[in-house]
Amino acid sequence: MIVVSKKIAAALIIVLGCALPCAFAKILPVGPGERFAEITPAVAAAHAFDTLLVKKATYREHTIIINKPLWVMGEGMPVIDARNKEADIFIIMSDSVFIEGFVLSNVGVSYLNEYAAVKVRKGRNGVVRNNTIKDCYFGIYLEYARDYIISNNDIVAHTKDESSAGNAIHVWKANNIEIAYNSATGHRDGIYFEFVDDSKIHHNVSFNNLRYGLHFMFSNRDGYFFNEFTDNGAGVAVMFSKQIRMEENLFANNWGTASYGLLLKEISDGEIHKNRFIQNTIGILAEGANRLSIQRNQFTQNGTALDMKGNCLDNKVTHNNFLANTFEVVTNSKYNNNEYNSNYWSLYSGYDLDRDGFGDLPYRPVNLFAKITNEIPSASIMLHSFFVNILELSERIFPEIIPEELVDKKPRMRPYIL
Amino acid sequence: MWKLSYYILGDLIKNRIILGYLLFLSVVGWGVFFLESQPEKALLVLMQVALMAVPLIVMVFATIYYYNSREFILLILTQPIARSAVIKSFFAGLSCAFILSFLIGIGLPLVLFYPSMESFYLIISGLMLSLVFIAIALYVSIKVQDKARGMGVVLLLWVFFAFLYDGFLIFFMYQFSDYPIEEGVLVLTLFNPIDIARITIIMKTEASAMMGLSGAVFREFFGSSKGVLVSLTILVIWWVLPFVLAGKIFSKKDM
Amino acid sequence: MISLQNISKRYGKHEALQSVSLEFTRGQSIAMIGPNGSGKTTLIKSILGLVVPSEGAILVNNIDITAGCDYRKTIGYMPQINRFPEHMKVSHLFAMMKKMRPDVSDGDYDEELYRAFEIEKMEKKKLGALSGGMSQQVSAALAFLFNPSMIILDEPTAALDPVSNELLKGKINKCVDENKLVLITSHILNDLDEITTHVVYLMEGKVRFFKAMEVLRAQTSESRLNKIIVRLINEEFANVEA
Repeated sequence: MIVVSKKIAAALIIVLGCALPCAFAKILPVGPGERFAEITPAVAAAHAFDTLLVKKATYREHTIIINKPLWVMGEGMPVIDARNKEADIFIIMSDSVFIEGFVLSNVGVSYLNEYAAVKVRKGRNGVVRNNTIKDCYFGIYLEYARDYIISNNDIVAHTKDESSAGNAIHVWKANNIEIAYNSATGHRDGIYFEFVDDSKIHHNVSFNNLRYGLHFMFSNRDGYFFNEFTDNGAGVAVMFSKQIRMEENLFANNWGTASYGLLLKEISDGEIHKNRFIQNTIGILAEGANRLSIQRNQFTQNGTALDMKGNCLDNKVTHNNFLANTFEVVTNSKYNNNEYNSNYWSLYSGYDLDRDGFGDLPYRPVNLFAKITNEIPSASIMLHSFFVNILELSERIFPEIIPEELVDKKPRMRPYIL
Repeated sequence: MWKLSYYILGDLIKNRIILGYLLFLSVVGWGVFFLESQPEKALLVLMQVALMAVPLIVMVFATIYYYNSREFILLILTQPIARSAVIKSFFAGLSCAFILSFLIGIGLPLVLFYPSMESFYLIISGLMLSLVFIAIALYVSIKVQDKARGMGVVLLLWVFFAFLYDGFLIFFMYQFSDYPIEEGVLVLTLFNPIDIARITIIMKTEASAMMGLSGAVFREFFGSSKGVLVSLTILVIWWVLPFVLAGKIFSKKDM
Repeated sequence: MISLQNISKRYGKHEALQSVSLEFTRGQSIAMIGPNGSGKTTLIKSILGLVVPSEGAILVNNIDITAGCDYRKTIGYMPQINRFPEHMKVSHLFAMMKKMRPDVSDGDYDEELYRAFEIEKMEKKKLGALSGGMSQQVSAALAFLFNPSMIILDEPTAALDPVSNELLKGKINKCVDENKLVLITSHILNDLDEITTHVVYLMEGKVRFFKAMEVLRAQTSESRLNKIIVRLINEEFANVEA
């Protein structure tokens, strides 16, 4: 499952292109009985653009500093065990470094430094792929990186406590990064993005992380597609970013008192299309979200499908399916500045006499009871009681508390096939 | 005693109202699964039926049946049969008729189309509520001699448990919303069998997680197996107590 | 057989029975008469244990009736009105009653009235579909079914047709001949002439008199019960005025 993308191709050309003129790029075998018994001396001995071929064995090394372009490749998944030392395993301080085919394990927890299995301190045109990273404080850690590919890594930890947990994939101040086909679990955040622009996150699975499946801040013009974020402590948070595209992702089973499928905070001009939000406490919680297009998503069995705070403006919520959610839309404002149109609401009970596929009566998806529980949380125990149902019904007919103009004028009669 | 219940049940299952009840439950119970593609939504509909319609119908019918059977009870009592046995047979006969209707009308479709924890608890709750409200109806109709008044009391009780009580609770929560009242609310819900049943079911549905932080107190209680045990026990008390009181009055009553 | 000792019954302020003491023995057929609200039905219900007296004791065969329900094995009762479970069939009613009386074995049923009223012909009918007369027939047949040594009949003849009426009277006389105790309330005094040996007259919860028919006839030189009663009531008025 190697992603052959443009960037790999580009990286290959660069490596080969530089190597070829030298024409003497060598393969240095590392392993018991080989010329180099350990990796660190081999790195020191290698020239730029050489290949280290690491044989299957267990290496008790750490702090392997790679300061020249190298292809470091494991054969048969050799293990590098840091034995819970507070140290990084690979530290990359050069462009054009490939790390591939290792089992990296047991980077110790530190409260001073963010030690990782693979740490890129600075560099471009690098690849980290096909590794298994087990019980490391941080998994793959990038700072000041450009044009990087992180793919097919399997990153597993078993941390129980958030304060002693690091992130599986941590990217800080980077550009044009592609993160694909990785699996991240048991860490604090599955994927952490801060100040990362023009990057792509796709086909990853991030589950059972203590905090966020994806934690995304101050990063613009990024896209994430086809990822699955499930069973994470607080779901996914996307904050303080512009022009984000989120498509075809799955956000599921983020249950908990403060969990979201997707938390949007200060996000603008993004596209949220064709995602599935299934069984989350809150499907999408939007605070200060502006000019987003929320289309063709599926919201199924969430506590609240969409919590749109009053400071959200000019968002378009159209052509979505809202199926079997306890509350469909919740807001804390009496006014509405967003557009709701042509959605399917399974709680809608109108009719369609003109047979155009849309209900003839407009629908107010905001729930009064959700508002009550916002003010008096203990009232949540009255959910589905007859009294509340009657209140709800009368409020929908004569809106008094819920925003009157938050209306879907074309509620769809049947769900879209998405 | 069981012989008498057997004949009472035999009479009841031919009763038009009981047949109507069975038909109503079946139409809703089976129909909702044919019309509704989402079983979770169907469950909510059936929950409303079990929480609202079942207590109402059960109470009204049990009351009417008792009043209409007074002469028959008189005849039975002239036989060498203890009064306690007669009231027990009545309760048993009525319970069987309603339980059977509920199981066929609501229980079976739930088991077939949505086998799950919440369905299980919905069935248990529906059955418990049937017993509770038969017992309450018997208590009222034995206590109140006049049929019209008895009927009025029963309807008032239904409105109280199904509607007013929750209104008072919400009002109470509004008044004291600045205080940590979760435990108080929790205790208050135990005084209403419909609330106990409702919350027990909801705690089994996925909706429980969205109850927020203050829901945690409820979830911790009702969601745990201890809580389920406590709420079931209280439901049992809710039917045993009125029934025992009804039996007490019945055994000393002038017929 | 039946001994009422100082029975009083109060419903709130209303005194339905006031210190009623009576002794009934085998071979008597007692007509209990009196105006509406005089306490006849309360008295009967007290004996049957349906009404609990406020004061006094009732002994049946020398056993206090509060001791248990077994004494009712010896009593057959035909109520004034009877509404049976509507959807039960006649045959089911009889089957059920028999089931409830395991103390009486198969051969010991007294089915004379059952046959005389041809109840097997209505066996398939639902109890709710019976006419008033048929209902009374069923009640009567049930009262005698378990061969009781005491029979209590509350307004037995009200809805019966003349033929059935005669059949019932014949049955009552037969019981008296068999040395059983019969207790009847009725306001149709004509019906009682041929079947009573004693008369209890109740008024406002008190026993005005309890006398044998011969004694009454001798006292009033009337033969018909209704005449006797009228005579006695007139005398009473005269006494009060004097």
